[in-house]
Amino acid sequence: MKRDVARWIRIPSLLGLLGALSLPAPVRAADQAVAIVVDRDNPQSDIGLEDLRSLFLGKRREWPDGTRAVPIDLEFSVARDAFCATVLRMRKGDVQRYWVDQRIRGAGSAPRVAPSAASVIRLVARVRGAVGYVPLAQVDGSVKILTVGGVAPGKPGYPLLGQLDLVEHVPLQFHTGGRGLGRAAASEAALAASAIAPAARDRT
Amino acid sequence: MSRRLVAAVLFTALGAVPLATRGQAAPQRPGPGAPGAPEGASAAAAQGEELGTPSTSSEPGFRLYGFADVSYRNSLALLVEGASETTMALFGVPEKGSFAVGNLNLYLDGQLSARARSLAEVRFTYLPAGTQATTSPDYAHTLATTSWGGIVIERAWVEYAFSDLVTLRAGQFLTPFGIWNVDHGSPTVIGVQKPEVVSQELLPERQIGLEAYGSKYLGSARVGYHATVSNGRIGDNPPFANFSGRPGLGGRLFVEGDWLGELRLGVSGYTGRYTELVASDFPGLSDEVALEYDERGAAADLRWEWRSVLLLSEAVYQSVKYTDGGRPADVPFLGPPSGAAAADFWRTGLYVLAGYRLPYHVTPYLLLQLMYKSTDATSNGGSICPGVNLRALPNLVLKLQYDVVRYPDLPGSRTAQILRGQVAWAF
Repeated sequence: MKRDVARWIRIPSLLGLLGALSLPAPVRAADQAVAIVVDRDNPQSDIGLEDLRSLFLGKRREWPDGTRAVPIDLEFSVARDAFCATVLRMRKGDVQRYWVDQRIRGAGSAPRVAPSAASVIRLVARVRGAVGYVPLAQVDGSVKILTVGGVAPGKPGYPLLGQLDLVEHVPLQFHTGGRGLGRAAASEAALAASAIAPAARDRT
Repeated sequence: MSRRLVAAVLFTALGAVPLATRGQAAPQRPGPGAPGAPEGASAAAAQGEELGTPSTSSEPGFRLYGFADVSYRNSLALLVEGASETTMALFGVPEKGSFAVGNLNLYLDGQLSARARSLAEVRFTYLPAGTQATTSPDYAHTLATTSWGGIVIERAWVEYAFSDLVTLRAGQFLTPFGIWNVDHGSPTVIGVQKPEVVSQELLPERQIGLEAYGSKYLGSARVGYHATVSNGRIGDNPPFANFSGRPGLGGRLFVEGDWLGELRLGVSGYTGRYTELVASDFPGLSDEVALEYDERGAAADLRWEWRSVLLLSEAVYQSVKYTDGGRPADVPFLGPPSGAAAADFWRTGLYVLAGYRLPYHVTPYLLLQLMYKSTDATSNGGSICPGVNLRALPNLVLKLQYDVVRYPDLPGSRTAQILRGQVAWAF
């Protein structure tokens, strides 16, 4: 009886994993891509990870054309996890700590947090200099998508992939020291898991 | 049959369903508000039409926040034998274990526009000395007495950011030197209290005047500067007066980047004349110079974070040359005045703090400090302070530190041992 139960669990899981593995890599990337969006008047078409990091950590406060940058965070989500891990190179808690420290130093406050991707898009579309990140699937034509390091979201090599498992493997670091994640190195099992319970992940 | 069905469903759930939801970006269409969209400051107006849309951090607004800490201090061995208990308590080293609310700081942060911002920070304190005004009963509670305290203006400034390279600030600001003086808040700093080289103010802790600062990325390195012109050292003078008539000038250069972890190096300098006046005993006569000296200060700092390792270090130097009319009498730290005039002097000090971050945000650390003064051997000494910093929450920190302080030329035991604990939080 126990064997039967085990087989019941094992077979579909393996099949599911097989299904995930069998997907062409670019398609998987597109599924998870987190797009960097700016207002349509922004002349930028590309941005580097370091530039993004400095904008969202308040070390750089303007675009190259002199427009004041207005970074907008997305409330806890897979996209935010990916953004924290890949761009800020921090855990979520480390990001909070960073901004507590910055406020005490008098160096400014954290970017405002929008409650949903739709809200980020509405803000970015209307505020000159705004920049946000949202799941690619939710982007509409009211905003402009930037390539990151010359790679468009959904293309192979795009660094911002919304796979929660990435965050779980961030090594313990000081709040500005996290490195080591790099890009999409999540296991296929994590990819499969990420498809099972996105709502649960969003709450983490 | 049923197994195949379940397998198919799960296969779909794990692999195929995401395919269906894998949407690409919608075709680009003209954004309704994009052309001529407002920059930062006017974002609120743009958002106003839509309730529930969050505002941005550059929108005009006002924020109230702060930090506080409660400390416990216990002198396990006294440094100065025979010193009065009240004196030691005022020096922050009470003979008997004592709790204290050390800092209760409130920030009033106003974003005036996308580029203009103001910040005021005040500290509520028991000073002067928590006097109990027994002759003035608490008017709200009959027959009760009350202890009164004061408010320290830590900083109050307004600034305008012309660009990342130039921000101009006016008001009272923390002197931009080193690490600790700017990190400043008990939840942010690793140790329980300021290192001596910072608390002894070899460079002024704060100034009133103008500050320009900015930074620029050169490749992967961020290079920045601060330049200040002010009333100079505040000292015992009223903060709103510059009795010397000369400005205090200061500056800082720093570079930071990702080189074997994250590294930041900085050098700072300050020069100014400090003049302290006393009112003449005779009406109609001008004030007398009680103390006047020219000072030069320099500092260097290093902050390095590599994986779980943190290293902070600052070295500060100050030279003091009295003017002919402003040279005070020599008053030694201990013992009676000699009657001689005080000599010019220089002093220096440094600290090194090394920490290692363990899981659960526990950071054991070791703080080493050294102080040296050219004319007073009793001021030469140092301390070794092992401690633990636990950042239980992003805005809640617990600290425990054990100070072994040694000043070899002091009479008495020459060595003090102090146990310090602290709970600090930001709100």
